Amino acid sequence: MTRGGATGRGLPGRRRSARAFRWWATTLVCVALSLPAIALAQSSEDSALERRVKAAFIYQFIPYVEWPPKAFPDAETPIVVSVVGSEQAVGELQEVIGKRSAQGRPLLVRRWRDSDAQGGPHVVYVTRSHADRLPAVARAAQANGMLVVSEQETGLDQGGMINFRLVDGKVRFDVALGPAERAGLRISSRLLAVAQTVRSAS
Amino acid sequence: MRFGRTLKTVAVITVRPSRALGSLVTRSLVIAAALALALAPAAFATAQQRIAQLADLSLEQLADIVVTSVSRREQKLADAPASIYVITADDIRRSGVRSLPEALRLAPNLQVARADANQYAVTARGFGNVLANKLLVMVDGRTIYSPLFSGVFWEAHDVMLEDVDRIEVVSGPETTLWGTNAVNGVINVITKPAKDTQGTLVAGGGGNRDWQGSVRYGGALPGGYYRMYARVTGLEATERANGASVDDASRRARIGFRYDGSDAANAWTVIADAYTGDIDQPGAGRDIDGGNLLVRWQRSLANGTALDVQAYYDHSTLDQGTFRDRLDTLDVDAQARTRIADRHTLVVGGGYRLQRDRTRGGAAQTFIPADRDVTTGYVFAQDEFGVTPALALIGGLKVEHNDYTGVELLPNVRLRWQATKDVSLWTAASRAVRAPSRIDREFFIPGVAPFVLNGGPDFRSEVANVFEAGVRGQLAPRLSYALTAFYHDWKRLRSAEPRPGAGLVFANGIEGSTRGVEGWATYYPMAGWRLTAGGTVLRQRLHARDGVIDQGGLAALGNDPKRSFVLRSSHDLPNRQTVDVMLRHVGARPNPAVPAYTAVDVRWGWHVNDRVEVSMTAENVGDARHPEWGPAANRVEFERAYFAKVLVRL
Repeated sequence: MTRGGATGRGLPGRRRSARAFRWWATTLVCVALSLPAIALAQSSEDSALERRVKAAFIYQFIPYVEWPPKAFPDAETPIVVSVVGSEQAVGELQEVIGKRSAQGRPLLVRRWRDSDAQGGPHVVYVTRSHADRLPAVARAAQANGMLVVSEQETGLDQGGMINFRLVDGKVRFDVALGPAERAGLRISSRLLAVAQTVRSAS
Repeated sequence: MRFGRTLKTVAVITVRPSRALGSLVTRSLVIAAALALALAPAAFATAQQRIAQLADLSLEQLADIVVTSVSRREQKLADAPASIYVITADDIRRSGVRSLPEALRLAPNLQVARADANQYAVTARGFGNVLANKLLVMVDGRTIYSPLFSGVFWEAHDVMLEDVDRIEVVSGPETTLWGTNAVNGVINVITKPAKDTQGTLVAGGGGNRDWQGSVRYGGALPGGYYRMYARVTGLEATERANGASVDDASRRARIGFRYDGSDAANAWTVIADAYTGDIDQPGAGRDIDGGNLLVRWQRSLANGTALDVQAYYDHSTLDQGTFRDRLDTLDVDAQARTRIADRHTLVVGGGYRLQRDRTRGGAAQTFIPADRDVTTGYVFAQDEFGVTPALALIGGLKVEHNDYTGVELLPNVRLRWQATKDVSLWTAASRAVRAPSRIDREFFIPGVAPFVLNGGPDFRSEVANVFEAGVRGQLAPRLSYALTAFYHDWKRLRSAEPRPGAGLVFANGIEGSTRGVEGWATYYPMAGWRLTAGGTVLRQRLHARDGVIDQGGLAALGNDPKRSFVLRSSHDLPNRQTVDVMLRHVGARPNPAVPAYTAVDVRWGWHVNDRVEVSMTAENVGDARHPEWGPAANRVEFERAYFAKVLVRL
């Protein structure tokens, strides 16, 4: 007996199997042949997926957050998302939500600048690579009515109001209501319902 | 949309399974290929658009996107391009099932037949038998099939169902990652982490066929959480069609412990269980005892690499007077998962298992030699190549060594293609092997020579070359589905061949094929109402090889229905009540003939408050009684069963 090969006995089972294999192999070859073309044309975006999903989350958070009235001096004021992170991170965010609008206002995604500590942005997103800036940014944010979104293990302990974490390879988030309230923000229960855990104000 | 329509064609073609299945498998493959070629450029063109569309998804949908490959052992199955059905904790609770094999009935890609009060024939894709030997069954990463016959003594695994997080059921070979026995499928029972079982739970109930009670307590320890549980169950004796009792009542008790701890980079799990059981049977009865201790350590490194090391010891004894078995297993497994160049996810690993098996035969049967140390060692590597964000090519090879046949090669190649946001297609080719178990080589009837049945000294591994193709996705926001067509080409299946002067000897004289379709769908007609339907259609052609005289080997390979399906309706009623109805149909089994049956089970549950749930279950409400397994002369029939249960969380 040979391993998996036809021994030429011509049993019906074998013939069927051989035919199934031929079809299957043909299919595979066809698909395989079409791969290089796709592969060449496509840049590798896998690693950016997490960032993009987080960007989409941030965009989806906005309708469920109520800022203090002074956060929007006039009807034209855009919603500013300020990113404490690399240029690349800013770019990835812009790709997903840069051309969007929310609450009837255009969305402006840009990198954090020092003047932001005095106010201006509505959402501050502190990326993992810049996590050491979180406590300082969070202090400034609380004083100026900004929503702080972080993505590190101890994010909520360091002033983060919404903190991303990965659960089973999926992006989930926790919410701390205390710092949000102190910043004068109101977070809708609809958003809290999706959160993994909610740390209540106390 | 072009995508939607064409894919529906595939679905329509694949749901008509009763027609020529062989050509069907190939036809769907051809269509899949044509689709692949036609849609590839389109998929590429829309990639950029799809990134922008992420922002249109709801919070819930976003939370469902898998963004990294997960490293943990118990989570690998979920994304694999394979036929996977997941039984959730909610499914288990709402169905009212009270034992592990009964819970497996919820998976449309498994065939479950109850042989008596305690014994079950559980299989996927055919070869159903109480000695079924082509499934890999694990509880929290611990393999529970016996090296005696590569099958499971289901009565020894009275898992505490309240603590089960989910049961992943893979039909089809998963041998590269999981090992030799995963020829027809893998059943992976995963219990909840200790963190999710905090506090006290007391549950108990009884009915006309069985009773059970369980207690669990969970608390915190430095760096983590733990739980302890105890559970007792009892089953009443079953009866034959003529009302005669079979004398198979049983009583079982089980205790266990689990600890989960973690810091920023490490996670530890310690699991221990011990059980005892006392099963009536004519004569001396059957005593089962055992225990296990498992330790797992997982570490994530800064570069995204995940390490996972696990070791367990498992002890079990079986004493039924005329036959005794004592098995001690030591198993070590290590694996690492890492990403290379952004597009490759590589998993490499290895393991070793030592099983010290000590048997004492009686007049009726024996193992020669009575005692054996069975060792298995393996290394494997699997790479997932993200050709594009939508297309993944997965190739793997496991090299395994066993004492009987030496080195076995278990390769597989898989392709997964996310054709649209809602549809993914996959196909796979695998070589799977069932290595000899002790029964194949060393089993003899009667207990002393001359024997009428002999283990085959030259028995080799049974081999399957398996081709699969599947589609799964979402037809509408409330309707999801999965369909798989499969073809298994079998070689060297176990035959029983007469040899001059030696009686029957086990050999590898049977070959043939199994083909079929399995699928399921879930539909939410409205809030608070879920419908699930699924089933399997199977055609098996097995025959003795030219020149082989087989006497009974073919019949012993399995006795399978051509079709089986299950329908479930889960309703949420006001005042926190739920009603679940499950209808399952199992086609006739040919040899020995078991008629087809349809059984309806109903459960009503009521959360009286946050702490207390009461429920009533009625099983087989439709028919007075039906058999599921065995020849008419000595099989049991299962009558209506009622069960009332109270569950309290303190």
